[in-house]
Amino acid sequence: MALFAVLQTTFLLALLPLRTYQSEVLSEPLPLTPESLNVSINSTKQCMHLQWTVHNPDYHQEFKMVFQIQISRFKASNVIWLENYSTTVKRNQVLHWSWESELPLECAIHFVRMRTMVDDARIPAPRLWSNWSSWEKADAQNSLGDHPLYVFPKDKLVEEGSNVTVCYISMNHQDNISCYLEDVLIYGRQLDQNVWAFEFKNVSFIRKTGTNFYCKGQGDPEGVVLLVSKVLEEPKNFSCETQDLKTLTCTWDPGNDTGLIQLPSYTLFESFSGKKTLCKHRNRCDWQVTQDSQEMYNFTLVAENYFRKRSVSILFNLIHGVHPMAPYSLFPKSVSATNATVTWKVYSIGSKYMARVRCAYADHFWKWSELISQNFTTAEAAPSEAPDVWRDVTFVSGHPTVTLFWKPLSKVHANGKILFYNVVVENLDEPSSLKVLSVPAPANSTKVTLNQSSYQICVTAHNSVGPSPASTVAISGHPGNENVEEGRMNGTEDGFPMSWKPQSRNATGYVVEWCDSPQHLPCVLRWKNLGPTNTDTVISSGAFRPGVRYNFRIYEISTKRMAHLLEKKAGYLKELAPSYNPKVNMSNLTSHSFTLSWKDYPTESQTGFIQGYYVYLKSKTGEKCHRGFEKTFLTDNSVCCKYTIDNPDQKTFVVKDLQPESAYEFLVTPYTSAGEGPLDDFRKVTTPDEYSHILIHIILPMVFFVFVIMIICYLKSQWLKDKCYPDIPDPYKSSVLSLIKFKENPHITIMNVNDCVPDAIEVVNKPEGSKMQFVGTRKSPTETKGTKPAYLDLLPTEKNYSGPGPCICFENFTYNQAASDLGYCGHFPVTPQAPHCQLGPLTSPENLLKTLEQSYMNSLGEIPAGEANLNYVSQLASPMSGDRESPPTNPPEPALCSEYKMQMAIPLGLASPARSENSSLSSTALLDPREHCH
Amino acid sequence: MKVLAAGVVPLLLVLHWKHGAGSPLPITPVNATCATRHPCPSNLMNQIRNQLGQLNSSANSLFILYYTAQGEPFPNNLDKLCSPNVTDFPPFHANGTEKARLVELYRIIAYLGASLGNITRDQKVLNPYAHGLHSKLSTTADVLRGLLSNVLCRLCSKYHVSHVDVTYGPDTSGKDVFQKKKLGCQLLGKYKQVIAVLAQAF
Repeated sequence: MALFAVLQTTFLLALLPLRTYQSEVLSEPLPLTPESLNVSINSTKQCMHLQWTVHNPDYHQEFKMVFQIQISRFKASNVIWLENYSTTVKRNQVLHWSWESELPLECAIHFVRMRTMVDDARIPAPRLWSNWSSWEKADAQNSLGDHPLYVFPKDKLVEEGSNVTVCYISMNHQDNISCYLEDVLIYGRQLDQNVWAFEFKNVSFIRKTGTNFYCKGQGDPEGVVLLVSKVLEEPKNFSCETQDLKTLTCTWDPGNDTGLIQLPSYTLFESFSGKKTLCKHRNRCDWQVTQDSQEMYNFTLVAENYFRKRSVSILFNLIHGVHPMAPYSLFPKSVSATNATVTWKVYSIGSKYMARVRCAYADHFWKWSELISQNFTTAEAAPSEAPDVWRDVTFVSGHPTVTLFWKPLSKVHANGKILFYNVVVENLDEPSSLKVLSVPAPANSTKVTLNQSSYQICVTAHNSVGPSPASTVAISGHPGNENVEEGRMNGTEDGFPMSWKPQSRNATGYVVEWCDSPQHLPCVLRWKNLGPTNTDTVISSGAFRPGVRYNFRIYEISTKRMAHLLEKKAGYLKELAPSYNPKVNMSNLTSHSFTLSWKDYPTESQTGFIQGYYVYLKSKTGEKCHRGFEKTFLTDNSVCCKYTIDNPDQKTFVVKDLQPESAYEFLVTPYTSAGEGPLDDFRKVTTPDEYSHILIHIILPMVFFVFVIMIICYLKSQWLKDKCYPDIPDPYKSSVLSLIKFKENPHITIMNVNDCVPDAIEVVNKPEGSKMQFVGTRKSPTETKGTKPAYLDLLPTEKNYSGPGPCICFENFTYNQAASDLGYCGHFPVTPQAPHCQLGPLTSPENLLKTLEQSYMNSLGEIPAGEANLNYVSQLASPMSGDRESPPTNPPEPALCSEYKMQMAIPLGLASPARSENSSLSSTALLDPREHCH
Repeated sequence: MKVLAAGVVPLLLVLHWKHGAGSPLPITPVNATCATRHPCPSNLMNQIRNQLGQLNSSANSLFILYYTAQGEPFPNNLDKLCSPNVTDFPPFHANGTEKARLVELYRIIAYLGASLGNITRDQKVLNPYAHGLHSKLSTTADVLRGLLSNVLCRLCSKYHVSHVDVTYGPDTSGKDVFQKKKLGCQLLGKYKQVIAVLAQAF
C-alpha cells in the first residue's frame, strides 16, 4: 500500500506541471511578431503598400489581431503616423495595408515598423504588445536619375476642392529654385536640406489639360501637371423611349463635364433581366429589346469616375414609352374648294393610333391652328416572325412525352393580336400520320405524347390575318445520350459565362436550357437560342439568386432540327455558406468511440458546392484534441476540436479515442467556398462505462442461462433427483468407485446385491430399555432411552447360520461422514474381534478412505470373495426417517446422522468399532463373532 | 512510314536550317541600284522648296497654337520651357553641297516627322478637344511626309543614294504629362527655328 501511495503521488506531481503548461498555452499566448514585412511604393496613387505575415503554430483558426504601424519620415525618430489596424488573421496569412501619403513619397525617405497584439475575446487578458519589428525603409529616391531637379507628384489626379502637396528635390544645394503655379510664384516650406514642399488647399479646376506647376533653377525647368477634376454630378432627366419597340433609347443630362482627360463612364443596368451595357455616349444609351416580351424595365444608370459613383433609376414600361417615328408619304388627295383628303403612312408598331391635325397659312406663316385629333386602328397583318420554340422530352414507359414551350411574339412581330398557336406533329417514319393541335393564346406550352418514332413538330402563331412562319423542332423516338459529365462553373455579376466545344461541323445552332427557379417545382424552363457560330455565351436572368444551384444543358441543333445534348453545367451565381446542417445519426456507441452518419444529406441542393464537412467535438474536460482534429474556437468563445472531411461524398465518420463515462458534444456541418453551416446544433453524447459491454454481452446471457437451467431443473426435478441423489444410491455411481478404479486394483469390486440373495427378512425390535452406546458422544445414555428403532435385517432364507467364517459388512460411508462430523453415530457393526475394530480413523472421510484402502488391501488379500460371509446392514437404517412404520418415541431426540451408509465391502475388523463398556448394539443386529452372515 | 516522316523530316529541316532562312528578304539591297516606285517629277527641287516654304510659313502658328493649348506658364516662359535645345537633333550645314544638304535635310525631316507623330499622339490624349491643334499637327505631318518622299526621290534619282541613316527623338509615351508638354514645346520651337534655316538654304 505504501508503495502504491508513493507511485500515485509521483504520478500526480508529474501531471501537475503538464497541466499547468497546457493552461498557459491556451490562456496566455506569446505575442506574435510580424514577419517578412515588405514595403513598396505606388507612385501613381502615392500609396505605400505594406505586406507581412504572422506565423502562429499554436492557432489553426482565425483570431483577431491589432497591428500598430508607425511611419517615420526622413529619419526613424521622426514619427509622422501611428495607426492601429485591426483584422482577423488566419494562420500564415499574408496581410496587406496601404497608406496614402499627402507628401509625394519620392520627396522623402520613409521608415515603417509595426508590432502586434492578439485582440480576441477568446484569449483572456492580459494582452501584450509584441516587440517592434525592425524599421523597413521605403526610399523612392533610389530610382531617380542624375537630373538636378525633380518635381513630384507626377500626373496627380485630384478632385476640385481637395488639398494637394507638391514638392521638389534639388540635387544641387547651391541652386536657387523658384516655383510657379500657373505662372504665379509660390513659396513653400523646407522639409529637408534639399526638399521643399508646397501645399495647395481647395484646388480649383483651371483647364482640361491640367494645372501646371513648375520649378526652375539654373538648369532645365521641371514641373508637374495636376489633373483636377470637377465633382461628378448625378445624371438628371433620365428617361427612356422607343420608336420601333426594338431599341430603347435612354437619355439623360450628365451635368457639367468633370474636365478630366479620363471621362466618367456611364453604365446602364436592368435589374429584371440582369443585363447591363456600357454606354458609348455620356448622355445617351441604346438598349436592345429582347424577344422574350419583357414589358417592364427597371433601369439604373451608374456614372462613375476615379473619385465618385453616382446612380439614378427609373421603372419603365415599354408600351408607355413609344415615341413614333414621323409619318411619311404624306400626300393631299381629292382637294376641292372646301375639302382636302390627305394620306400618309406610318411605321407599324401597333394597331391603334391617334392623328392630330393643325393648319397654318403656308404663304405667310404666322401661327398654327388649334389641333384636332382622331383615333384610328390600322388593319392587322400576319405575324412576321416564327415563335421561338423549345421542347422538354421525358420518356414514360419508353414513349416520349414532349412538352412544347414558345415565347410570345413581340408587338413588332405579332402585327396584331395572336389568337392561337397551331402545333403540327408529323411522324417522319409514317408520313401519312399528321396530327394538328390548336392551342388558344395566351398559352405558351402544350404537351404531346408520341410513339417511338421520329417526329417533326411545327409551331405557328396565328392572328386574324394568318399564320406566322413556322418554327420547327425534331424529336427522336429514343432517348439521346444523357451520360454527359456535368461540369462546374462560377457565376459573375453579368450572369453565367459558358463555352462549349462543337461536336458537328453542320450544326445549325445551339440552345442553352435552364430553370429559372430550380428550387421550386415545376421547373420554369428557359432557353436561349444561339447561332451556329457561337461557342460561348453569358446566361443572365433577373431571376438568378445567390445560393441557388442552376443546371444548364447545352444542345447542338442538327440540320434536321434534332437537338443533341452537348454539355451539362452547374453553377451558383454566388456560393453561400450552408444554411442548415445534416441530420446526423449516431450509432455504435462504445466507451471509446461512436459512429456518425448523415447519408440522407443531399449535397446537390445546397447553397454552394459542398466541399466537405467539419466534425466538431466538444468535451467537458477540454482535453487535448485527438489525432486528426485541430483545436478551434467557436463564436461563443468555447474551445472545441474540429476534424475536416474534404470529401463531400464521405457521409460517415467514426469518432475514436474517447474516454469512457465522459460527456461529449458533437456537430457535423458542411462547408462551401463561402463558409460553413450554422454552429448552433451540438448534440450531446455520453460514453458508457468501459465494462458495460461485458455486462451486456456476458453477464446477462449467463443470468439468462442460469435462469433457464433453474427452470429445467425445476421441471425435471424428479429426474434430477433420481440421477443425482436417489433415495437408494447406486453403488456403481459412487465416487469411491472412481477412487478405486484410480488405484487400478482389479480385485476390488463392489458386490452386486444380487450376489447376496436374501432369503428372510427379520424385523428386530429392540426391547425397551435397551441401551445405545454412542462412541464419542457426550450424551448420557439416558438421553437415548426410549428410542425404538426398527431394523429390517436381511438374513438367509433358510439357514440361519451356515457356520463360522469371515464376515464382510457393507456400509454407506457417505452417511458415516455426517456421523463423524456430528461426533457420534447411531450404530456400528460389531465384530467379535475387538482389536480389528478401530473407530478413530473412520471419523473422517479421508481417514476412512485411507483406512479402507489399506484394510481392503490387507483383508481382501486374505479373504477370498467367495468365502466371505456378509453382515448386511439395511440402508434404511435411520431411526427417524428410515423406519417410518415405527415413529420415534422420542422426537426431540437429535436426528443423529443419516443412517444411510455407503455399501462397501469392509473387513470385519475394520467395521468393528472399539468396544467400550457402555456400548450398545441396540441399533444393529449384531452377529455372534463366530457367526457368518451370508 | 509515319515514323520516318515524323523523325527524319524534322531532322533534315534542322540540318538545313540557316540563320535568316525565315526572315524576309530586304526590299532594297544595300548595294542595289537606287530605284523609285514612281518617276520623280521634273520640278523636284521646286517642290522641295515650296514645301519647305509652306512649312516655314505655318511653323510659328503651330508653335503658338501648341504652347497656348498647354496653358500657363508655357506662353509666358517660352525661353525656359520651350527653348529649342533639343538634344541629338540632326545638324544642318547650309554651305554644303546639294547632295550633303539633301542628306542632312532628309535626316532632319525624318527626325521631325517622328517627333511630330509623338506630339500628335500625346496631344490627342492630353487635349482631346483641341481640334485646331490636332488638325495643324496632322497637316504639318502630312507635308513632312511628302517632303521626305521628294527628298528621297531627288537623292535617288540624281545622286543614287538609296539609304540614309537617320536618328529619331526620344519616345515620350512613358513620360509624365509635364514632360510631354515641355518636350513637345521644345521640339516645335526647334522646328520653327530649323525650318526657317532650311527654307533659306534651298
